[in-house]
Amino acid sequence: MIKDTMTSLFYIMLTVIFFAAGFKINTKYKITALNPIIFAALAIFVFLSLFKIPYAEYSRGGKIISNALGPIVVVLAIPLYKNRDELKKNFVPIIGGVISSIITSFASVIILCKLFKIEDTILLSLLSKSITNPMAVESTKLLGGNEAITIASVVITGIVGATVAPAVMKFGKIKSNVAKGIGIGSSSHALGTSKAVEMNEETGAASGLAIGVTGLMTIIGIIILA
Amino acid sequence: MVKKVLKTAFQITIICLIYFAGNFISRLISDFIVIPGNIIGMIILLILLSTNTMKLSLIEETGNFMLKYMGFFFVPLIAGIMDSYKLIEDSIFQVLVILTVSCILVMFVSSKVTDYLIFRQKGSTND
Repeated sequence: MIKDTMTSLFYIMLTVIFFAAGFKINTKYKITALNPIIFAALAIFVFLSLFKIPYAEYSRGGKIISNALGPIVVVLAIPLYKNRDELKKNFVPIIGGVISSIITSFASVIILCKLFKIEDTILLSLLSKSITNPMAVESTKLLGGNEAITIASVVITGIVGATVAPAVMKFGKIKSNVAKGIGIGSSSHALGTSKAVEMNEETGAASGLAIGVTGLMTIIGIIILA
Repeated sequence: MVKKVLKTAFQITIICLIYFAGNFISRLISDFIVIPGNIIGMIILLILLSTNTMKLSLIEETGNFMLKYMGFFFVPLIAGIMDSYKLIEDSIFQVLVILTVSCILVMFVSSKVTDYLIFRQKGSTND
């Protein structure tokens, strides 16, 4: 019992230390590609490989950290509340943006998969990549894909989104903070939102809102069409 | 010091209670539609704040701290996918290209459309 607790604690501390180190390096050298999240994940991966520790063992501590993701999404209501007037005013543009995101997501995955001759099971599993994990798993079940592939694709999409967000907003010449947030949240859910929250509060609020709206509209869309 | 710890613990408790309530409702309606408990929790908190049932100051400090370090909580998940990549090993390169290209496209189109609609809305109300 005590040994179990110590193991969990050890892996939690390890994750904190790697993340803190990544945070330090990131703020010192300002390299967007090397964000503290990826740095810490890579460090853990290297650590586990080096000492031949299976992921399931690390997971005893890792799971506790992942569990906190639930309450964190709840807390996204704070920026949402603070920016409620701005968001209400832009109701129609937000819905328009989310619908365009779902169409682009499905179309691009289908076209690219056909182009690369990817098998159908993988294609079906990738379709839900832009929505938050619990909803993505559900929509993959509806579509008949592989859940494990979906979970991986959701996380990879999130990392990509959080990494490219500042560049896409700059080169896309996106002016409104609400539009930036909708783009980030609808393409890369909560992981992208962690970047949006860093950009500014309004972008974070819109991005948090987009997670829920995009997920809901995707599932409803699949139920209606399938 | 003790006061600060107690205050943080209290704020975490409130946030978790809302999250548990969200999970409970999520399970109740799961036969009808799947909405994750955390999203329902977010809606509950938003309603509580909007209706002034709960003051923002009650959870603000801890909430902002959690949001600031949100990325940290994804670390184990990301370390985990490196373990499960075997599933798509044969087409890993193609899948990575597809996910990257698609994500950039979706983000660009979605924010551009929203930006354009906001701009048009502003234009029409000014006329």
